[in-house]
Amino acid sequence: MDFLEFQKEMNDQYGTTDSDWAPLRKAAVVRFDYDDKNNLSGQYNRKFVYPDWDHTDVIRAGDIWLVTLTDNPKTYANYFAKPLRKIDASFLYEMNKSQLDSLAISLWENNRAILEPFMEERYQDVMNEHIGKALEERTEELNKKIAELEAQLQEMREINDQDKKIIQSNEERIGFLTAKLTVLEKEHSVPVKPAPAEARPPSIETFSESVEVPKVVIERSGPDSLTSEGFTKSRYFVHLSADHRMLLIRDNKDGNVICMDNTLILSGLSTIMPYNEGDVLVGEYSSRYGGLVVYLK
Amino acid sequence: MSIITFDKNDRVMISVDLMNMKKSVTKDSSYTDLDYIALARILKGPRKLVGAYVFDSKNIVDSEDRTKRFHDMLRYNGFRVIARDSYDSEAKIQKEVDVAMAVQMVVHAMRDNYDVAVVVSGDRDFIPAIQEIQAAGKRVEVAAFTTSSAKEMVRQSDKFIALDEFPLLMMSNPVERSETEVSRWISWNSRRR
Repeated sequence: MDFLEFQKEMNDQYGTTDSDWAPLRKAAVVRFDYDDKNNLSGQYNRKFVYPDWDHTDVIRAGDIWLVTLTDNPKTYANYFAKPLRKIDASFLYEMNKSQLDSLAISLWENNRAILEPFMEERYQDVMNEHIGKALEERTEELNKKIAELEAQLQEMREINDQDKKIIQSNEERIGFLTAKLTVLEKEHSVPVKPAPAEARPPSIETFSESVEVPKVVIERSGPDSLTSEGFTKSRYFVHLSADHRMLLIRDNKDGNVICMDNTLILSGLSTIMPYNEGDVLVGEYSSRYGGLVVYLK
Repeated sequence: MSIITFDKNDRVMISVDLMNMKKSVTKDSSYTDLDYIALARILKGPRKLVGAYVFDSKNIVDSEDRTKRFHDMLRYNGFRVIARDSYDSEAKIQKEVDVAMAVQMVVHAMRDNYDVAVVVSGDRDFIPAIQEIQAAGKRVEVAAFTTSSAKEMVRQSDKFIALDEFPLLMMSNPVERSETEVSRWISWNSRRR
């Protein structure tokens, strides 16, 4: 803002008159030096400025002072200066941030042509370093984000896999129960005749350790199901070896695998052993484990 | 052929490092559970079992800690469960457990409470304890899955039992399994939120 405009605005707002601004209008920044006659003087508006001797501050050659000027009443050809404030480093230190910012902006705008090439040359390396650092941080941040997203994707895939397994198991279970329902419906409609004793499949319990080890044929009736005429009990324990080579099937009243229609449905069997329709496995009774041992491989 | 013979009159003490076992069967854990009762029966054989210890940690902060029920199930089946209050839920690691197990095995050896110590872990941290037990005149059998057994443990033991060959992973019906999986999935999902 122009100084005169500022005055006008102050006048409008606060009623400050020209006479109030008179001392300020006479304020100037003057550099003092010895002239040809060895007098301490400065210059302002093409007039010489001499220190007013009616003051206590000491003005030395080379000093820059903020002064108020009064015309020499005799000649009006020069001024007398009353020092107000010495402009030196301490003056800058006492400035607040906004004042310093204004000063820096003013310096930059008025001297941009000179300062710009100088600053560019001087701070090119520093700027490059800053840019490199910022770029590195951004890259790291993005890499982290990529890793997080990949982890999320992996988690989602795992959930998806689990869901698929659950769906597959449920579908199998539905099929199994539907078949069971059909059988039950038939059983209710037709009176059951006791089967002849010799027609009954051999029970696992009846196997004993003898010279000839009884073998049981087990059919792979589905991806997760095993069917055999030997599965005559309602509950079984089924154990798998960690190397996926052996399956141990033991009947037990507390067993956690329920047998329906001579069929055991085992969660994850298709994962252990790929399903091929019509696969047949052979189980042997093991006295060591007290159950039917089936070798999968 | 091993020169160590099997004596029916041997007193056997089994010590299970639960975390090591759980880690060993993670690949099959979505459709099987390790049957610790079958494990103890197989390791005991025809010998006399004087004690079966299970070492684990418990989460004292989480009131719904599912391991508590599992520990109770083991206790009900005759295991002595020693669960340390030392689970670091942030780092997901156990502390104190290995040392507790080592101390227990050595102390029982010094008191002549058993003839054969069965260490169910492949962690080589137990080697100093095994050496002390052997120095006390006891035999040490190490039972572990080959995927998680340190070679030094196999060398140090009087007998190494590779658990991979034994039917120890309990399978179940799909319905039962899927219900478990659904509940696991729900709890896992709620934890994420």
